[in-house]
Amino acid sequence: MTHPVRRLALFGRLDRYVGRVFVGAYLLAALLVVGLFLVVDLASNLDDFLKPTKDGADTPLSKVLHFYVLQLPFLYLQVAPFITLIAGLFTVTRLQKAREVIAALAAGISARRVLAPVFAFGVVLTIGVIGLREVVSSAIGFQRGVLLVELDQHLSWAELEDVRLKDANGDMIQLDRYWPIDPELAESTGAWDRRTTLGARIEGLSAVREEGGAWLSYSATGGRWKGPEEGWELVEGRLREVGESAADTRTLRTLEGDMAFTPEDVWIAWKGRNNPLDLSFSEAARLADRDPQNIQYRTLRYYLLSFPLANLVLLLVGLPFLLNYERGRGTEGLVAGFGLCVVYFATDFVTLNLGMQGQIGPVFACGLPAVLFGSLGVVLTGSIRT
Amino acid sequence: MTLFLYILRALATSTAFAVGALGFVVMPAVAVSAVHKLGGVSLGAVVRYVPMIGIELIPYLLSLGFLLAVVSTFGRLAADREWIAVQMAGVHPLRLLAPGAVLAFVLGAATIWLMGTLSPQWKLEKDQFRADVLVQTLRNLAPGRTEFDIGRFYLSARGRDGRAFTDVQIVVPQLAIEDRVENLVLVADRVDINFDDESMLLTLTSVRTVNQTESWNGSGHVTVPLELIFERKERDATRAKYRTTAALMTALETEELPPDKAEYYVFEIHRRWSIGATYVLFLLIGMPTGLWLRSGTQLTAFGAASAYAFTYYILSLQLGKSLAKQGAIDPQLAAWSTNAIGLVVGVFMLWRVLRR
Repeated sequence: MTHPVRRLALFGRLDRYVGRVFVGAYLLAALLVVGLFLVVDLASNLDDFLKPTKDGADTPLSKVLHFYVLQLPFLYLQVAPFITLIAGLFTVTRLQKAREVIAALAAGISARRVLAPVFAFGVVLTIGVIGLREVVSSAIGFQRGVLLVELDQHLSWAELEDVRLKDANGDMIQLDRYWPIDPELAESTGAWDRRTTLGARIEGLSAVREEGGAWLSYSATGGRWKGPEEGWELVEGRLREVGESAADTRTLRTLEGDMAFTPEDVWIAWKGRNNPLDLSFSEAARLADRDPQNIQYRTLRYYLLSFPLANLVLLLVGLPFLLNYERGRGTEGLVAGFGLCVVYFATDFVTLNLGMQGQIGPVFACGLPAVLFGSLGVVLTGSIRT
Repeated sequence: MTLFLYILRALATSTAFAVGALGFVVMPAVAVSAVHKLGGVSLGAVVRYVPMIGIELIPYLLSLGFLLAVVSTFGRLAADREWIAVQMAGVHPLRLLAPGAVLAFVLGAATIWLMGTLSPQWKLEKDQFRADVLVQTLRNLAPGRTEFDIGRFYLSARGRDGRAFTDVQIVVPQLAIEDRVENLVLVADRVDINFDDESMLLTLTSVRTVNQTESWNGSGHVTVPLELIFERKERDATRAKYRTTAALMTALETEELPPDKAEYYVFEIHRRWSIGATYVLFLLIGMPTGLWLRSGTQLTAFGAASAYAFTYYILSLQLGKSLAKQGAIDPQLAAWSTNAIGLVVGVFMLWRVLRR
């Protein structure tokens, strides 16, 4: 005899109840995991951050606190899928413990339907994490990055050394020193005002290019950003054909054409080399477009998309094992679910590493674990006893 | 004894589970961060690097896992009315702390050993290891890599031909040209790279040596000493964080140390011991929390416990150090200051719950 499966209205009482349990568990898991990472980060860096700057000034505690306030969303982004998994496990454990899944089954509601809000949250969180990365990166990413440079290198004002970026043609431009915010603005710019590059400055620019069989050397002792209209105002800018006499030197007042770049390009290039996981998807795509041969940027671009997918994949893989209705098998299910999630991350870790080395293609490196375990998760979820 | 073993088993299982779950959450994030930090080194190198970062997490993972286990175990005892049954049987509630105390002692001893012996050595080796694996990355010349930006050396190629790089631009660090120190830019159609122990040998085809005024065209070899690429930062191995507890104690007894350094050594030794004692405090705080907030799925209890733990950790990072630095109290007392606050709070909470 077959029992008819009851169809429930979307966002009905059951969905709202399960959703509420999930949200509560999610908030707790977020507190637990982000808090743990925050403490570990503090333990690793606090001593070093509080050292005096190179010019002998004390580093104010408020600056460190400011940095960690801005750091919180980035810590969350780093661990978001694990928070989702823990919240999912907690939700199912609670429903199981209170025999609510059995009650739903007895009422003709399938276990998959009971868990639908959890999976729906998984989808929302996947999209949300991608969006959040873009938002925080553009809203506070620069401010946080500047503080990190200052605290990490014990500087009173952010200054980057030996920055190499690619121009529109993919050729290298070397900057000996770069200030994303003009040091002359130090007095007039408050800590919370440094949201984007302001009056960026360069010291020591050099690049060589081959044009029409001749080698051209671009150089400048300094430069100041005058805005998108005027570009860089170079100091002692020179363009000369290599090997020709000094008399053939042309004065270079600004950078134009393929050589043109913005302060944001420099900042993103620096971030890409030093803190690649802080890049947003659009920033990674920008770097990969400028430097299409660079396997690391190409891998990173796909990884920033595939990593949030873990929000859903982990739920699909981890939760079915918990829906075990035999007495005393709950812990086994929990361990099996966790175990499979560990295998997922191990696979992800291995393929990511191979991708970063160029041993396998970037799409394959980032997509394989998500596709493989996502498919397995769909099968497991589909085969839940219900 | 049956009760003792029952609670001990529950606590040990819950601790193992909580630590495992927290480790599962933390370690992949650490591993991914290591992959990006090391920038495409071999898998083996990343696998060896991850424990060097992970070891710093262990005292926090263990103690937080223990706290959650205490909250969960005593919360369940209360929810299942076992707590009442135990009291009805005339067993003093404080006796139920004994299994937790045993576990706290074992975990504390393990933490003190870890922080006092292994962790300082690994901290010292971590930076060295990172520099070594970056050299290894360069030596391995992974097949898909077209760019190396390592230390002061930079290579960017349009393509690869086996182990060789094609259409290459190379910045060779600080090669002296006519008494001037300048980064030399080499542009070549093809570069083959080989290594010996101390240097990198670039075999260049159709190379142009380009600086601001000169260009030279041809083929040839350039040898770059590896020490020019990697400026190794020499770590001060006498810093307290790089010395084992035994070495710190020996230094205090045998070496003539400047007073501030000696005080810092004393502080560091006691700080390591005080971290080991955290488990006892978490037992005192976790038990009342579990008993008070036993309802539902213990979400609130876990949340409260996490909040205690993070407040405690953050206080412990700076409070003692600030007091020691200001000379307000002896360094050994300063190291135990957060424990003292935790002890007062824990005893008060325990007193409240026992009085009830």
